Amino acid sequence: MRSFLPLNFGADTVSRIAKGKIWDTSTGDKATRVLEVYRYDPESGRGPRLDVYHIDRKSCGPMVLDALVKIKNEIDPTLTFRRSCREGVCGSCSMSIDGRNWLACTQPIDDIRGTIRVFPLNHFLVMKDLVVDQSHVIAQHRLIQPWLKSETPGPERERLQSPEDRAKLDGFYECILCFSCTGGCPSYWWNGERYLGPAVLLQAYRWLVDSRDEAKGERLDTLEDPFRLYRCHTIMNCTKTCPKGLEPAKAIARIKAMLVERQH
Amino acid sequence: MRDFRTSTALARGLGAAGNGTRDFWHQRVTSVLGVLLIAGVLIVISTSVGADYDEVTNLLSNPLAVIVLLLALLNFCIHMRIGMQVVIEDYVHGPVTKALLLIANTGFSAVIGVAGAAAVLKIAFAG
Amino acid sequence: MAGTTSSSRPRPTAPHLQVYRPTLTMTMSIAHRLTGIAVYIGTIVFVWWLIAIAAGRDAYESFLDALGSIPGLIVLFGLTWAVLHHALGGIRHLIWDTGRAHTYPWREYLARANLIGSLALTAILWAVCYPR
Repeated sequence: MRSFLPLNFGADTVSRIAKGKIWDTSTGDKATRVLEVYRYDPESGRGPRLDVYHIDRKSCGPMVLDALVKIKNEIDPTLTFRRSCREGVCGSCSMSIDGRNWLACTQPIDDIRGTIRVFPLNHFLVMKDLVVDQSHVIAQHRLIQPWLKSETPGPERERLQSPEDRAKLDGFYECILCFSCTGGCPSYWWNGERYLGPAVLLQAYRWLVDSRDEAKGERLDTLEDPFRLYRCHTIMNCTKTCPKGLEPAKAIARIKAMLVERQH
Repeated sequence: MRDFRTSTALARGLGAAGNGTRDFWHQRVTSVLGVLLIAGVLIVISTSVGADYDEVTNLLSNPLAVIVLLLALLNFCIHMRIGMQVVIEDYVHGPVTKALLLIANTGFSAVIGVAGAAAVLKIAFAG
Repeated sequence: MAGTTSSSRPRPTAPHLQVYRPTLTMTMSIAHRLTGIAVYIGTIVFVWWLIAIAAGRDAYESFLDALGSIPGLIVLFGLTWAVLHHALGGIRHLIWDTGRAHTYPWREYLARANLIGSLALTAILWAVCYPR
């Protein structure tokens, strides 16, 4: 099911999406797939548009990223997007595909029925085409100090951790910071300037639960805020859209539980 | 107007408020108790259906009904205030409008709680 | 927001609600909020009921007349559902708050149980209580 809202519902003037160019490279073949791709050129002086491309599925790789690369190579070299590892570990090519956020490199074309609609990560500011400005989320990530904090001088060799304590990081350390979850979170849409969002809070939990870290209280102090943390209303879009299968909503629930624990 | 603030300044904002957990916890406490109390209230209301005026005042003079109704009014008064406050904070960003709505919210919740309690007490003791 | 651009035109915001495929849990979250707001306003009916009884026989009669009318009954039925849906939604959120049932398909089951449960309870309550 597609969103029930019109494409430009509630969009401000600069964000309104116009009808774009139809690159008719269709061969009429049954293997032709249609992609609608968000385009925005900051130097054109014009707003965003939605271009339509036709690609031959038979001469294209299996993933949406392959389709985008094919468009860039064969149809329109100006199409701009981030990509690097093409195997789901770098987090560069996260975008809105067919109504959810996923890595273009791990999203099979054949899993999508009908027209494949591709947009930049929801609610982020767009720099060009599918490339978004991540400076705010990166600054929010820095805010939670994503590194080991310890006053006790380090031992000669590594800081030890029991296998049980190490296991507590499982499901949380694997985050690749693609921000699919943050882009898919309605609370982040309405209050992203103050709310830290699921990706950053999952990372915050990853350090809170690390047995080697000595700054738990300080970390909780940073999060104890109606907006930074408590804008999470357990809508669960984050958990559903995580291309790594992680559960940001669970991490956030556990942070809230820690904060309750230290008051009672 | 161009915004020249750095992303660090924007992310830090005004700093952490140092609260939020209290409201979160109170909302959970009043929701657990609220589920029990709403069951009680629904029993009282459904018992009153079809009853004539004397039967209804009799029912509402029952100490158990009075206790359930008073506790429910107190519970929901707190719960609805916090809940609506979260809704207002989510969608209203103008500082003046937000402040006015937050005040109106507290006022409304208090009126509901006190008016309801006054009526229950009058029925029970002066009915 | 931060970052400089050569163009003076502000950057567009990528579409969000307009292109996001509705998820069951998101829809139920919206329903939880809307039923919460409905019950918030609906407390007026509840307190009106109490005040009418406190005010005396005539006031109670006119309250019953108003609520017994077709619009009154629709409001009351809707309010019954809203209360039950919000109460069950609260239980769903309490379970999620403990970190349980976040994984697929449990979170979907929980959301579905919320809706089915509230509709069923409303139907049962009205079937049992509706005066014949």
